[in-house]
Amino acid sequence: MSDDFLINLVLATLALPIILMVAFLVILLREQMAKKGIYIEILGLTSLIVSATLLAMWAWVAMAPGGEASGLIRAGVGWTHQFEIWKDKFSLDVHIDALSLYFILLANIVAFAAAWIVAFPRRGEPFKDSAFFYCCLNGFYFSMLMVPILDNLIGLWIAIEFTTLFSALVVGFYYTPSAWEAAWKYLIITSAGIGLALLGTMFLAHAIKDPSSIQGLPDSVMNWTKLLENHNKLEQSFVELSFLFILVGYGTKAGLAPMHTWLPDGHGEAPAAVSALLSGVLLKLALYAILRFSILTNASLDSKEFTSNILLGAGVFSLLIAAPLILKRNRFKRVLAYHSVEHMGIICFGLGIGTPLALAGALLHTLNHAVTKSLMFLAYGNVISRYKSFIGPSIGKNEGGGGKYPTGALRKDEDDADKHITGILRIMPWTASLLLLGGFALVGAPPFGIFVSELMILLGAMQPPIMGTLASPTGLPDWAILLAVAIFMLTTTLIFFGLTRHLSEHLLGEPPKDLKKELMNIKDKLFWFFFEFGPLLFLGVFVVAGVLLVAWLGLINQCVAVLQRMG
Amino acid sequence: MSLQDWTGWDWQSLLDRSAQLLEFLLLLTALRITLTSSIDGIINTYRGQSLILAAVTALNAGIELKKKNSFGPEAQLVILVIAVLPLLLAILAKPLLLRATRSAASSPKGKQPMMFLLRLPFRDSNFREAKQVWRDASEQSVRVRALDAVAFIAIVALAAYVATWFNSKPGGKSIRLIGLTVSLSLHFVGLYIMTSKRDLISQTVGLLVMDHGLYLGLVNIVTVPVPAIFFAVALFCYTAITFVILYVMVPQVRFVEGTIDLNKVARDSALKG
Repeated sequence: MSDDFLINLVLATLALPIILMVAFLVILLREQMAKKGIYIEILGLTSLIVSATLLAMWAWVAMAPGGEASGLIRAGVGWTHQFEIWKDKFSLDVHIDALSLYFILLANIVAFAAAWIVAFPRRGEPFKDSAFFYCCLNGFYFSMLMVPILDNLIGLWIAIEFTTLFSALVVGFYYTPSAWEAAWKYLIITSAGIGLALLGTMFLAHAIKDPSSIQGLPDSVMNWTKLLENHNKLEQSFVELSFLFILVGYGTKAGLAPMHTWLPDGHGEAPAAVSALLSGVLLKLALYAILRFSILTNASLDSKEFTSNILLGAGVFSLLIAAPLILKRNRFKRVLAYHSVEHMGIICFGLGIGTPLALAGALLHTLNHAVTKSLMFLAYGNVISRYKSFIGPSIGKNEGGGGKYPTGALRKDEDDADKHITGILRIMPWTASLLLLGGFALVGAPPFGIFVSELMILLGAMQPPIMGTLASPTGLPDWAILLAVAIFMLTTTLIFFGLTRHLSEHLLGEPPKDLKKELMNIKDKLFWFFFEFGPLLFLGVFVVAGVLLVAWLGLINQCVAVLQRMG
Repeated sequence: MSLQDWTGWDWQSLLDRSAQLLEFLLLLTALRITLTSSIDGIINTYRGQSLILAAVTALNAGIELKKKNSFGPEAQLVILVIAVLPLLLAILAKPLLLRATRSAASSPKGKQPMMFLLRLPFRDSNFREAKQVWRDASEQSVRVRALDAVAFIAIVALAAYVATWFNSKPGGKSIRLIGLTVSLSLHFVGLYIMTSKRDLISQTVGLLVMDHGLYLGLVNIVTVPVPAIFFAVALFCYTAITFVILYVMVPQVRFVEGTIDLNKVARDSALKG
């Protein structure tokens, strides 16, 4: 795989979603355009083709056997390229190593499934014929892909900031009071977090003792690769302070407790495809940013103890907060959102433990959770579409009220909306089967991927205290690690019962009286299979195939090597 | 006789002390925003804060000029961005927030609310109605001023502690203690305002106060020219997003919720648990 191929692929990855976004924007602004719906459908299909192509290309990069660029990625050094925007003054610096490749693949897998499910929405779906929705979705896709590609840490911050903007605009898309309340809360809390992350990045900039000694174009001073090469030229106390601000800042976006309060509202109220992207991808990209800073911090301090302890503490705290909230009776999408807090806690737990097995388990868990949670949100989104006539006016477009202070849709119904969603197994057996599969996978039941990754994390955590085969980077005494492991096992067990109970309430039982299994003709069946069930099946394959580690182990091992870099 | 002969200070010291005085005024404006319950008062104080911030940036530019006898195009760009952005917010914040409050009027039937809201005008006699909404919300607001004052003092004390710690480290001496204290204070006070105020407009002002903390942070923390440019670009993007929030999101929330009173929204909310 040549340099040119990667350059063109990066350009395509950044340019194509922008082009689609602009196309949708043009349609949005031309309100009186004839045959608007058809153009939106064509562009929706184009978005699907673009995301499929990018996924295939990046998957090929991961599997490509030879070539200089491929060799650099595999060797842990990474492939770096400068796109010169302003000669000798400003360039866009790109860095692809195993870790960024892993997250690019993760983002593309979920984005492809999301693009697939919104490509041809059902009649009556609020975002059907909405150029605004697709414009924001493509903007969201573009900004998500920028995060793992850019080398510059300030560019990374800008990319994450844009994900906040685009995602907030679509969280409230259903135009109900609760949707916009959720969007507002999401925006306020994540903007506060992002501000702290920027302060953290400023502290890191101040940590550079002598910028003139960092070689390269002047604007590459804040490049991650340059900072890592020159880690011994960073003032350690500022690096530590920077990491603390970064963890709180990006941790807010990653859904770590106690900054997670936006998560159940944001994920619960958004359209299903958006919830899948938020939970499956955005949380992981915020974690990616934390990982980049943790590698730098470890190199600068010449020790992993500081970051390991903090990540372990954040992980354990998130697990403790999420467990009771999942057990509580709640709307199913909110339960799934609290699950995301739990799983982010599990990932941080693994990263904090820091042994190679735990790191590999944490990275594998990142992917497993992304695909499983996305499957659950998309499948449940299909269920809601089917049941919506029994849920009430809260789902669907709200035109806004009249009068001096319009009050919008009926609010009280929303609280009880979910209790009408029962007997899914009878009404939608295929979708229910995938929901069941995803549910078992999510609670860590064997033989699914999440079980495997959790087991790897547990075994990795046991290595220092029990097996004595390896010292934990945390530097904590054995009893502390065992206590953390006990909390991990207790919370994951409790959560098993919580989600199982919630899921059974919806899957089993009698469906609403007048709701019958849909009778579909051949054309409807084909449409359903390809555009509603197809994306779920695609994700379902990953949920099951997560067991087959062979395809991922090589890449994960390379990612672990990147995480353990000390310079 | 030179300035030094008159006052005992040289130009650099004078500029330095002036900057410190203005930074202290920034803190006072933040205190006023925290304690006051009148929405109009909060916004007007915020505008004053923006103007003071622009002046602080200009003074810092003067200090830089005096130190090095020139500042390169990079520093000029940073100063331009950091001085101009608060000025823009000072001018546009109030009309945008009045416009957002006014968005309560229903959209014509069949029109997408988003497109209707994007085209809401600025200049409008209905701004009187919006101001009445603000007055009503202010009258209903119950503030425990003592609690707000204690929270403010605690935040400033914490910021001062962090700034002192920072200043005590090698490499930290180049940062002005008061500047960093005020920057961190504004950021956290903005966060407190967002969480403690219960109307949409005041929460938005809290977000804008946080932005001021970041602008001041750039001026005080990042002492190297080149990353400063990138941070200026980042803050420009952040401000652009703030304008989108003011222009699109706030009217949207106001339109759908039908009120700026977030207590009422919370009482009626289905988002419990």
